[in-house]
Amino acid sequence: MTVDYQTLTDEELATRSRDGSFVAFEELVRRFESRICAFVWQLCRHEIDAREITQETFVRAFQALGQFDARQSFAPWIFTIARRKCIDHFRARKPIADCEPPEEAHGDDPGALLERREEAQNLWAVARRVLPPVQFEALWLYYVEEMSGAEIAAALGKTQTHVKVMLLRARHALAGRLPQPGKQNATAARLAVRPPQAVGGSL
Amino acid sequence: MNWWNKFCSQQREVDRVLRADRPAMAAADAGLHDSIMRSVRAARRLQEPRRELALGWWLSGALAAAVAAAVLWHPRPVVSREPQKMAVVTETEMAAAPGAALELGAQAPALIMAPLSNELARVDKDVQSATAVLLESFP
Repeated sequence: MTVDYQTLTDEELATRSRDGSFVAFEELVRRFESRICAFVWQLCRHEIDAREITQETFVRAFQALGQFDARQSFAPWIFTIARRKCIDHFRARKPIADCEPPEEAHGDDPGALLERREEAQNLWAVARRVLPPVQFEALWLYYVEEMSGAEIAAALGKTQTHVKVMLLRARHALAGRLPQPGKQNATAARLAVRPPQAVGGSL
Repeated sequence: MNWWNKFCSQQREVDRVLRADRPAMAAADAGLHDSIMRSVRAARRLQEPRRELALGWWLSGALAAAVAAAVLWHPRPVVSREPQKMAVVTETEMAAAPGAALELGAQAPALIMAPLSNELARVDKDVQSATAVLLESFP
């Protein structure tokens, strides 16, 4: 009997992968590769690094399939691996100047100003720049990945209450930066001179 | 309550904009998929010999444990800690022992007893020769 892997849930695929089905794991890769890559790219803003970390994430997931509990959701599990891989990656490559965020490294650059002006039109770009990383991750998992509070808590290693507070603070921090049609340039100019660390709310 | 209403409306507005401006998720290119699968296959190849090795270790460990258990549980003769009593042999029994031995010899099969009989005949012949020599040597 042939199995249609596309109809199986992520958890069923993970269970089959754990039992030795490589086809099931390939289906999981197909489902999650773009999502993981987008998440990682948001954190590191470097295409080659993002691809490398995505690759490492799936290799690690394959090696650790035995530890996956099929009663839990698969998505938070693999996003946890991706997040840890990002942290490891930055920790290992911290001394390299290439890892510095371009906005901070070239604050007065006309290109950076233009980029910020464009960013000001998109609240997600602003969120990525002004929020603390963990708040941005919570926001991304909630709005883009549409995870529940419990799943985000599992992915970030926090309590559900902490996740709710982080989301509330993130939205509150972004409230003053909502793009307004008539004031886009003014917002961009304001963002260009304000240091990022002075804006984000701390937990 | 004015600030609360303002706060709630701000939260709702940010929520709406974040949902509306969600980044579009583009499908991953074939290159990324291929490179991921290549890495995973390489990891699997590395993992398989380890599994075999682990299985070998597990089997040898289980075998060693079974042998050890067998040795430990093997029924050993119970050694009495009490001093053994000396057997009391009466004089009658001692006197009867040669007779019993002769009876045993008579009952034993000829094949077992034949070499002994030959040897006994040779010894007897030697004794008789020695007796004859001694007697002839007397004046």
